[in-house]
Amino acid sequence: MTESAAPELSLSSFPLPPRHERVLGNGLTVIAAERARVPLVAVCLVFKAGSARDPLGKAGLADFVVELLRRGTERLTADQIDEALEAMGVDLHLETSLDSTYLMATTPAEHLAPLLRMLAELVQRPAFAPVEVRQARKRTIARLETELDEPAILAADALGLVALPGHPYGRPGRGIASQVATFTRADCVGFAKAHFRPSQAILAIAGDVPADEALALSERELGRWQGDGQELEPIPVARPLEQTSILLVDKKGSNQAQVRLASSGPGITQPDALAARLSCQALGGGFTSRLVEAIRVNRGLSYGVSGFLTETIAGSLFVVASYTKTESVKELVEVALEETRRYRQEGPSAEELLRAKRYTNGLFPLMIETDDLLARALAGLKRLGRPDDWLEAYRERVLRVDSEQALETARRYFLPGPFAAAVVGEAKGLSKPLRALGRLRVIPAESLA
Amino acid sequence: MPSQTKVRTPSRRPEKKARVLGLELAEPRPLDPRLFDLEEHRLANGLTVRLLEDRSVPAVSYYTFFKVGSRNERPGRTGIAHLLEHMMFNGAAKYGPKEFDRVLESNGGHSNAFTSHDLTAYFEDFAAEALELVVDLESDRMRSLALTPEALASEREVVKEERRYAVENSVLGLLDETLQALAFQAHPYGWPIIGWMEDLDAITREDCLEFFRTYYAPNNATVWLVGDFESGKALELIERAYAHIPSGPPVPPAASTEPPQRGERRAEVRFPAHAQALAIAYKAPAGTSADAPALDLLQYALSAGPGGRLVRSLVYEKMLAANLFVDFTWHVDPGLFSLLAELNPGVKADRALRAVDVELERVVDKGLTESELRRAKGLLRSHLLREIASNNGRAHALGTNELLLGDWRRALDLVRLYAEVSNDDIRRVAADLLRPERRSVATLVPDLALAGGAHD
Repeated sequence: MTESAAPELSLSSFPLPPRHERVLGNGLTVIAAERARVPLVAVCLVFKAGSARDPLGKAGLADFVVELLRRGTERLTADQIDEALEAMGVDLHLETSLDSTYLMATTPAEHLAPLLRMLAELVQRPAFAPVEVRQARKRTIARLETELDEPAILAADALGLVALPGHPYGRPGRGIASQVATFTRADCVGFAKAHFRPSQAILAIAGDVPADEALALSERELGRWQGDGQELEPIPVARPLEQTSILLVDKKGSNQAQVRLASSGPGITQPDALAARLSCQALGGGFTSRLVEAIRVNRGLSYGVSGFLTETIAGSLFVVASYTKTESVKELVEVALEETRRYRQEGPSAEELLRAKRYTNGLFPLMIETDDLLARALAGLKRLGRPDDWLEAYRERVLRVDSEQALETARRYFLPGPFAAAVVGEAKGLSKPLRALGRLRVIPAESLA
Repeated sequence: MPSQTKVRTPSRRPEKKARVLGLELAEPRPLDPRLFDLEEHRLANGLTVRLLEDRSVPAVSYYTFFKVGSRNERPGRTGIAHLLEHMMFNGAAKYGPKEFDRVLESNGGHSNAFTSHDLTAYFEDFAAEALELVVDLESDRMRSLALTPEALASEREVVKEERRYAVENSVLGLLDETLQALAFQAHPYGWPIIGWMEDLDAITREDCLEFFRTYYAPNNATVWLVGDFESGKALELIERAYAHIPSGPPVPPAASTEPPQRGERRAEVRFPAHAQALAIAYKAPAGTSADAPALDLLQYALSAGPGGRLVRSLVYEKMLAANLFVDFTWHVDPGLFSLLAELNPGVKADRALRAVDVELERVVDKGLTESELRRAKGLLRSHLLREIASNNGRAHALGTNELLLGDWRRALDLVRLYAEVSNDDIRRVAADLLRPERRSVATLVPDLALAGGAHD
């Protein structure tokens, strides 16, 4: 095979394990897939609510509540929970995104039953003991303060504030110290009751356990889980910015600045989301995108540069992310804007689009190679309401994206008009060049704790 | 020819079974021997080849390991191993500048690399159809790396930006660099893998060429393939592509001595941070030491998961630290067993150090609890299984084992070795390791007066 190989890609057969699905009496959707490579099994429990459901004035609550799930139930102390999970070799992964909350665990296959029993215990009977809530507040506030020394985290928060003002996606999901200080046990109980219930959850199990056994175990351990509540209102789609806005976070003593540029992108389930993703790949993905070539390869301005879509449900953001020494920020922003402008004009070349497709399809099997990746993908796809053959049909759908669609999504989404910029660095030396771009606001880093 | 490896089943010594909410934890299942059923070859020019077929996914992981790292550098040219790693993506005779990744991505693959103290590794993950192309790409750069002055000038700036990102604007990066420099007086492990800023400016094209000629010859390299291919055909491709690359001179020994440490060392670094941070390092044996499995378990028992002894004590109970990591990375030469903690605002490093000492003294005194040891074993076993579950993870694990420990089969023994470690072993290695006169302590102290570029 050479680089001039025929554009028709062979899609080597890739038999995915059959998925078995059951909706339990309490509304919990369970999906199981058996795959025996190593004697492990992965479990992913996803809730259809994430940080965007933090109540106003309670930024960080979703993240706070999910962390507390492992800090004690009505029957078990935090130490007992840790002891049981760790004896099973489980490093429980708790994660909150804007749209969803994940509890994930991988364990030797023989431990699936006790693992499900423990997960059931955590979600059905969280204690939220006052002492744990108090200590978690203290820990969270301390962590927020230490994260003032993490420029990339500050940049992500600042981008939300400037790109999505007033929108639930724009608030910092990791929390704001002054708001975390107000979290009560009642807040936690209320959030968990409203969002962590079986009809709002999907459980996916993948690995070296027969699917019918996994379903039966799920029924046995989670079938009695009860909970009800109202259907959640969808998150409204954010309005695009009317004028270019720049938020400069003054981080004293930095000799390098984090830079983010953003504009409105498609919601992950929108029909043009896949075309936008492939188009974005050519502009800012991998090691050969236009942005990488212009910023890293040709000019040595940065070690890391990427253009990506945030892939949220109620609209997303197209983001250019990079960093460079303070004195090069102006040049980096100019190059990024110019490359993006040119790309909007011409779209990807035939070779660039083909490369994006081949890259995406060639690496696709690795996106679901291991049990934990597969379980997460199955739960995530169900959470988005994707059709059952989504994985089987994915590479075909990639192939069908044409250059017109790629160009059109570039014009619609990749910084086409007013945009948002977040920069984290020493303000002295940055204010002047940034002011030339649009309306500039400068805040001290400390205001992001 | 195929190896006759047999995977031994994990120890069946009677152990108290753990109970979780009334459910007993079952005995571990044995691993499928096909996970390690590989072919071993060596070409006439010294290139070592390992081929492990696995058709689980239509993809291949292709690793090239060179037994060279920052350990093989000399003062004044620190960072050259890592800079050269970057340069390997900047063009060779057949595939010129910008071509390597472009061709690879065009054929359904991606690539990356890393440099450690002891080794440098390049890997590609790609659609099975692209194997011949990847063999061509990899052999091209081993045979005829271009190292053009233009690419070097640009890449040098990229690496300096990487250094600003990972060290100079990072609490843990800066503290770790300080700790390594404190712990080693003579050994190259004392300087940063990414190199000192001034050295990055001083490295010349000739330095790079010499480094490449010395360490990147086939006799210093091992190629690992794991995934969807046919071994006979893969070997043929590799022989055709690599056989004509001449072997290099014997690799010179690294300057790898370190005088014994005769007392505790302390260092302080000031940084415009919002909280103090603490780093502690004890001199530890090499990865080949018979004590390494017990030290791995000790590392896990102290810090893996919220139930790890130090995490539980410092993060949850005493709330002194926001994050705490314990590291015992296997090295060719004796390395470090180290701890890094980002402290909560207002907490003084000395107070956190005392809290750590209380816990470590208990380990020396009494070992771990039965539950701690069982959990550390459970977590380590899961992590091993998860690592070998992917093509890339298996190639990485086996290849690294081979280079650091001399034999990839060591990976097969690990499950058993971990299972056999007793609390007496833990107490013994802890007592040997955690000696005050062999430790170094570095603290990072906030100093906002540094704002304005007092550090470069």
